[in-house]
Amino acid sequence: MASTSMEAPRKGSKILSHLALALGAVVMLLPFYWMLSTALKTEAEAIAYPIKWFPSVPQVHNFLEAWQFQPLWTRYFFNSFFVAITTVVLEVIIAAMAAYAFAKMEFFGKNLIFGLFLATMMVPGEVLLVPNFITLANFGWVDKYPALIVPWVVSVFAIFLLRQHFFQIPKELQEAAFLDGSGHIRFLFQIVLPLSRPALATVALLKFIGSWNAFLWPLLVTNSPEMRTVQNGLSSFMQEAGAHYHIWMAAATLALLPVLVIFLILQKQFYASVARSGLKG
Amino acid sequence: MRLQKGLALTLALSIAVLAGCGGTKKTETAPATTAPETKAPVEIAFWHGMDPKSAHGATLEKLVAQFNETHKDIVVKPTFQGSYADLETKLTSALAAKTPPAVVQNTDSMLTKLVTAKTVEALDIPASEKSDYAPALLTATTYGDKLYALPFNKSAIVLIYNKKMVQNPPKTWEEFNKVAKDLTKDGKAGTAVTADVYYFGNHLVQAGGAWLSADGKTAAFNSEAGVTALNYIAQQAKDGIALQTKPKEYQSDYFNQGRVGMILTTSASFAFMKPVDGSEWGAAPIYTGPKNAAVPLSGANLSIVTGLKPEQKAAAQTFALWLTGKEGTLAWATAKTGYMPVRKSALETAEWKDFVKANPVYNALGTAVQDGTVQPNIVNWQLIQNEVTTAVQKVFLGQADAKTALDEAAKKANEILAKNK
Repeated sequence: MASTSMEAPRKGSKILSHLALALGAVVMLLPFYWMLSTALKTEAEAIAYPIKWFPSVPQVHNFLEAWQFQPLWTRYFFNSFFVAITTVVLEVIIAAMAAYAFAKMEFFGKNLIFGLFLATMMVPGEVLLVPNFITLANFGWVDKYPALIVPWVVSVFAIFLLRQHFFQIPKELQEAAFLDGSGHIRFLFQIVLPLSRPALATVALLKFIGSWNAFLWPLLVTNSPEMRTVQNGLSSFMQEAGAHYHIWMAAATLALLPVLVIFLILQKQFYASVARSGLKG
Repeated sequence: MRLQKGLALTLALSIAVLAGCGGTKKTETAPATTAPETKAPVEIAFWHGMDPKSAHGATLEKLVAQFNETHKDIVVKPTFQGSYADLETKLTSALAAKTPPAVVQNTDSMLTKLVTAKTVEALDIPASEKSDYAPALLTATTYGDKLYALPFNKSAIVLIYNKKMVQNPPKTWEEFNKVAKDLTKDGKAGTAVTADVYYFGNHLVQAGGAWLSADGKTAAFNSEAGVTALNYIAQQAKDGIALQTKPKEYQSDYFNQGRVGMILTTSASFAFMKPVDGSEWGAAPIYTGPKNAAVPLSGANLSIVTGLKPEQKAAAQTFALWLTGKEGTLAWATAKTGYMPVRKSALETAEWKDFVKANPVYNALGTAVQDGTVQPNIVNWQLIQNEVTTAVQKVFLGQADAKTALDEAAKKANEILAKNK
């Protein structure tokens, strides 16, 4: 008796919490459902009022139309991939080295420098837009790949995240490694980084999404259509006086696919990181 | 948000001017490695916001190519820089970095900022050319007694109607309400209204009102005419003969969905008119108000940035005059861009008349050249627009009557105007 009376409320609260989670999931998924279903509708269905939730006949050719609408898609996708992957790789290397220095080394003014790093997170990006542009223009980088990549390879957030993670690596490991003749660099790349895969995956994923979704910056620093990115191409579908929503949503679906694939690949590590950071704060 | 952005841009522009004072501009010129005997063509960059994927952008690129073909001594390099807002951000940065283009497309509000920051040239064009442009359009681009831009892609507010629902497009305010009332049944309404400064503005001049006093020093939109105009549109929503659009919604969507039978909208949206029930649509000139037949105009202009070399400046002016000239504007308007010919002489051509005969919806643009009106081109006009929009929304929400709301907005507008001096 006692045991069932204990279990019943627990079961009830479990159902409740699952309901709440399911509701949250629906709210999160709804925009994606809307995008995908609109991508499969006819133009009339896409703007129908009252809302039509299901396309009567899926218009798969919308995707073909969306692809053909923008002859530069392949170029845009290449640019976005190239920029995103280069940015991610460079950022992870730089952030790992900086985070290691802040977490595992002792040097004069460490906390002050780290504090200054954190302070830069308080500066809104819009403020930096014009100064950054002037700097790049003086470097002669306008309309070139470095302008799309270099400003984004250092992320204080990534350094912060990795630093917190590195703190969890036991000091004994470092002592053992150093006893065996390892230096800082070797210890970082052979021991610390393999142990930090979840944190690295998180940093990489967030940066990839950020880079892939960037719109204003690529537009600002490029002039030729060949240098622009997927998001710039996507904006073509929204015009001054109206939009063809069904084709637009088909294009948006295509543009989302790479992010989805990368997320699925890194999913396991990402969850591990979220779960772990939740435990350790 | 809009206010903050406006402020930020104004600030950035002023910085650009300060930084640019006395400095020589680096512009995108052709390399100087030219043989002395053959004069290399002058290369000028042209930034615009007409997406090459749209009819607008495609036509523009074709016209630029045509210009380059016929002017061997000039090479214009067009670049699409995103929407007008993106174009403005980009231009602000480029001016600060001293890498602006020679010719830039700008909306009226953007032009005011450029003129204030002294980043665009006053234009000196022949009087014969000047008198050929639609008068209202030049008013919008003239500051003091100097012309700072040539009107390029200009659209007019027209009345678009569903031919299945409306046989004879209404010609006056009363007629419009009557038709709208007849259409209001079976979950449908006559028209769609937007509670903002533009929709109010469509009716202000028609009611005999003006935005500012004749000397431009005080607000005048809280006149009796202003009250009449605001009450006219607010009453449509109250009576249910008009649906009120929400922010970010296109009126054309309401129209295409078949929820309303008529809308007032810019002719630039012609390309997006497609009623889902498959019925045909027509366009007529906007109705005549109790006092005037004012046709509100909007769209963008062409300006030349300051600090160019003399030969570049000359080339830039040749290009801007050509693109907005009789042939240029005619080619632009007859490519079904939804924009109007900006030249009186273009309206007289057989080509335009034939085009209108074949595409009757463009008839609606005919009166725009004569009866066009524009909003004032004063500094911080956007701030005043925000105040007016607030007033209009208050009346739509029933929080204030038209007179009180407009008086309040006028008071704030006068404060802004006083600061401008």
